[in-house]
Amino acid sequence: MKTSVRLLLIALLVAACIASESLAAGDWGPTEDGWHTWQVAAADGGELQIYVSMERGRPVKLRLQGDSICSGHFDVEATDLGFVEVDQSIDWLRRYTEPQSELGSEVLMAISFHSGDRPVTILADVVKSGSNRKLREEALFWLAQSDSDDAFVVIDRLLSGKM
Amino acid sequence: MHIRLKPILALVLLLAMSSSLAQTTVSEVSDVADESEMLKIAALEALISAPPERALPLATKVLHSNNSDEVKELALFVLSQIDLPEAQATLLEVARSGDDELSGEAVRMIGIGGDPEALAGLADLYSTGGEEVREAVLEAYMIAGDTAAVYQIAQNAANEDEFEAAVEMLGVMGARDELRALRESSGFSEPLIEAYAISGDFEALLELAMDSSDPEIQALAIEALGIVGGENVNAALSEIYLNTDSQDVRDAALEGMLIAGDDEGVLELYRASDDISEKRDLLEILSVMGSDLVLDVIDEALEGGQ
Repeated sequence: MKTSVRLLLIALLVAACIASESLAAGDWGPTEDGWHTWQVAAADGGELQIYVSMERGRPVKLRLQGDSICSGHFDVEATDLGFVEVDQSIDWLRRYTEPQSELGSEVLMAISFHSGDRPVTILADVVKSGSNRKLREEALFWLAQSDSDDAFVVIDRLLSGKM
Repeated sequence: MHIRLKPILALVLLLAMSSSLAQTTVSEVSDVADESEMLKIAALEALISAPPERALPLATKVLHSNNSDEVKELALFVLSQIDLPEAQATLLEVARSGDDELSGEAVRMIGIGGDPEALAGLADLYSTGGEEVREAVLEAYMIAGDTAAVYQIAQNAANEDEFEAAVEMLGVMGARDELRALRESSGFSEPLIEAYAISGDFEALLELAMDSSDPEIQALAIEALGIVGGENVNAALSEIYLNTDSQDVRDAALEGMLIAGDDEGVLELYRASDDISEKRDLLEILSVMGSDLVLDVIDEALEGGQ
């Protein structure tokens, strides 16, 4: 009896740990007001530094720094969230690609600079089923800047009237 | 007679509904078509900054597919920005296709691209093409700044209209040397003088303006000086007016001053003249120019009791 209770407790503990980890992954990202910054692997093989200014729980400004981004020097006091996984960064940014977000265009640009296949998948989704034409056009632009075969398949389909 | 209202009402309602449904469907379809067209345009605009080897096949495919002229014209522009021989070859192919609207645009895009080989290919097209294509070839040469090619067209012009169009283009391009060379080979003509004016060739026009051997050409040159404008022109026109006995030359000089808007020069001539009839003509010119200096003249007249 004692053993089975112990086993049940261990199982509950493990389940709680897993749940808390996945909750943390899903909830990752800046929440408090003010500037936050983090680093992530960039599509050009370098490092992408993302700065976000939060107000009332929502991002209101977004700045990027990286080897392929020709922006002036950006210097602001920000809470450094460190180097994060591409998926974490993209998952957080993706919440703000909805049409009503003031940062929709900037967020698409930021996503396009992340490494891996997910940026193209997300941009292609916006092109295929986005509800806002401006964002669809922005997504097309960033797709065309990538060197991914998949990106140009999407553009080809659109130009062929198959989308 | 018993009328069955229910079925009639139902029929009317059905007709009204079907009409409204039909309208909605047509408008929705049209919105979708607009959206699709806009997205194609956005995709082509995006291709302008895409890797050329990626953009080339897609832009070419658009040209060979069932798309609107607007979309195809943008595809031509994308090709004009691609520095690959295949892109220029496709532009030439469309330019030679005989589709007036699209071939004219393809010709202009060859001008924008500025590829020497493709530009050279336009010479054949000019000699075999229709009026619109010939016009587009001249524009392409203008965009590319190829004055030598336009000069060749002017020199080999088959008729006056062709000569005039080429000479006018040389004027727009500011090709003074080529225009002067044409004077040697083809003599003077109104289009050539206009082209001198458009190109701002003050010296060439002044030379003609001082030459009384052909009064008609001289008068045209004097008037054309007004188009060039500037202080040199103002001084030259006043001098021409004062130093001639020919009424035609004077009239041409005044016309030139009118075109140049030199109201101060006309006022000076007015003040220098003792001839009442001449003064009246000069005052009339000032009025036509809408110059406030007319008020000065009136004040002077009133003060002088004239």
